[in-house]
Amino acid sequence: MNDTIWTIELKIFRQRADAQRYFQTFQIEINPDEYVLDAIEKVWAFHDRSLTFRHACHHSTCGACGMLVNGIEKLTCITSIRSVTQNNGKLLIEPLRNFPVLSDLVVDTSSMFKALEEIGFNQVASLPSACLPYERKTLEHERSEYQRLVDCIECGMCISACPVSLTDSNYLGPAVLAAAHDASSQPLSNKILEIVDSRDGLWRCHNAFECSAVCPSNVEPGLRIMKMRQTVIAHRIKKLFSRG
Amino acid sequence: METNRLQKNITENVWLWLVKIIAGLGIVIFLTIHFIVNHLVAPEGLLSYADILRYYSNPIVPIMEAGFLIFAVVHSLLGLRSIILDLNPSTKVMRFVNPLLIAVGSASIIYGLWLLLVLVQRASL
Ligand code: SF4
Ligand code: FES
Repeated sequence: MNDTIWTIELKIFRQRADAQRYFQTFQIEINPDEYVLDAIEKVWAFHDRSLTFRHACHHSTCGACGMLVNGIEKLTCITSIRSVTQNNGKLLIEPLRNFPVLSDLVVDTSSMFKALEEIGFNQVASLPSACLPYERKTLEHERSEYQRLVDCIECGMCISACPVSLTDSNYLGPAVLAAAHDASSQPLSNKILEIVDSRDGLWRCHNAFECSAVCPSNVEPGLRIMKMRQTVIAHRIKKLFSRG
Repeated sequence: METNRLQKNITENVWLWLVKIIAGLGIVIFLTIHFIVNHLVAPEGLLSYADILRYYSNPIVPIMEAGFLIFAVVHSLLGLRSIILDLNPSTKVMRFVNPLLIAVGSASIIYGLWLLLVLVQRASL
């Protein structure tokens, strides 16, 4: 990190409980190689201790710090100031979309966590199911007893970017459908089938692929939704013929 | 359970989605053939009514155009239905929208096929 210092203006969304929402502007000095989360922490530390925001790991693992930076979903702990503004530039910081705002930049993602739990989301999966279909396979990938952490960090940014989640709050959303794909590489369970092949499931997706564009962890929820559709269609057709 | 079944009927489901995709694929195939024939195969293109009638005297053409018509109507109306669903309509509204779309689709296809048959008939004279 060099010792350049930039002056930037942060325009931050504020809202307390049901009170009127507004934007508050702060001027700070910051090294452009620091991150947006550092800038928000500076505001909290030196300007306004009442500002609320979520963060934990500071290295893109916990998924807590997702916010809208200049209107685009970003994991603020790995988004450098340099990549989103310039010296004397501005930054617009807002909470994620499609989740209820609890306070300032903190949103209530409990609906996503509940749905993930229902689908049987597990942070650890066998190598073949945790990897994307196009990932380069090694010999280890053939052996399903090898496991690794799945890519999804449950940040909710894909749901925030999804145009279908915007209009239909009941839509399961990319993170949950991607998790269903993760959990379904073994034969499709009736429980998963019932959840994803429903009015709020797979078929509502309009293939905007905004989810894949903003996902900071290369989960490719859009691609996984398409794969899951293939799996469900194959299952339904097979079932149709096996009935007769 | 009953409510679920009812709601499943008024929203998206696997079969409607499959039909929409197949129709979309059909449009791509027929449109490609349509463009190739119109611009590359037909000498100097189909510029006059007489050219069109001659074009329709080939039995493959009306079959292809009928397929194109059906795929285009089905795909566009199912697409429109998906957009309407994005507006969060109530069950009541969808009970009205579904038959309306079926009626519009059927009328368009019947009218299109009738026009097609008229052209085929004139072409055979
Ligand atoms: S799929 Fe990607 S964007 Fe969505 S919750 Fe998981 S890590 Fe975040
Ligand atoms: S603080 Fe944990 S991902 Fe950003």
